[in-house]
Amino acid sequence: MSGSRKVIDARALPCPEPVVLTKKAVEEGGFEVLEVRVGCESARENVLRYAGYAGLEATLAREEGAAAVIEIRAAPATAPQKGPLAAPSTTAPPAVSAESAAGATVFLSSSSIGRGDDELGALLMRGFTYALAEAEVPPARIILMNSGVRLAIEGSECLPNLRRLAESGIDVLACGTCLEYYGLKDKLAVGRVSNMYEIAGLLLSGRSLSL
Amino acid sequence: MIATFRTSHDALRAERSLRSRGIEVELIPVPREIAGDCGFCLLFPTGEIRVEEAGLGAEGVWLVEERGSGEGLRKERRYERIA
Repeated sequence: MSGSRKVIDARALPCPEPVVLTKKAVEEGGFEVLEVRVGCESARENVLRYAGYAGLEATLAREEGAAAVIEIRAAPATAPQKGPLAAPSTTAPPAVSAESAAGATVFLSSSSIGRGDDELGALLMRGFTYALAEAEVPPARIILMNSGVRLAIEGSECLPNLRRLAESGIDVLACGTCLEYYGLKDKLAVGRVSNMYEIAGLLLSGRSLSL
Repeated sequence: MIATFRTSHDALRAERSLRSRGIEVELIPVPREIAGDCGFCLLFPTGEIRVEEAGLGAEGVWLVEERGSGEGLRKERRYERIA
């Protein structure tokens, strides 16, 4: 049976290249059969899963150990091509006014956000410290007090997030009294030790928010 | 790549399961481009993701394309659903 065949040789490509190329080829069209050659099981699974998601018939034509050849049949001309596009978000991010252009001081006086389930509080703090890096106007500094200092200790779930923030120029200050009280003075893994005078001064000097 | 889940509980459970098997993964808030209401998802630093792996229970899989502008932390990202 004659039919145009497009071939993608992704055997030497690292994930997710094989599925990226497959997706592009499917979107470009111009074939009756798309042959994708993969070199590892993950790539095989990714390509087959994508074909299923896109509503296309895919078969494992050949396999030799981890390598495999997958054949994907183009959708019939009359069927609408399923486009796996992200749906628009339901909530738009708030606009930032000119006066909020200068970075704020974030004051964290606890290692968890809110009161209620401890696991949720810790999860929220992880998400929050991650989201700070995504903010349109990042904070100028983060001040940690009481159990908040635990966030900056080796082994803290939030440490990678705080390190990212510190590396981009955000000051991370941890209250010395608190570190000493918890016996963590030599375990600070990001930022620097501060004191009540500096902390009070900073909180009074500009915009600050506390969680 | 990003794996989304029906609930944050599922995401937490999957993270624990993967970590206990030595698989590097980050639990992050779901990007706005993917969903508007709050939730957490798993970010896989490499392209390898095998959602069929026992009990992962992901609801969706997304490709993340990063276009770093170099300035600041925020990067431009594009998300495309592939499963």
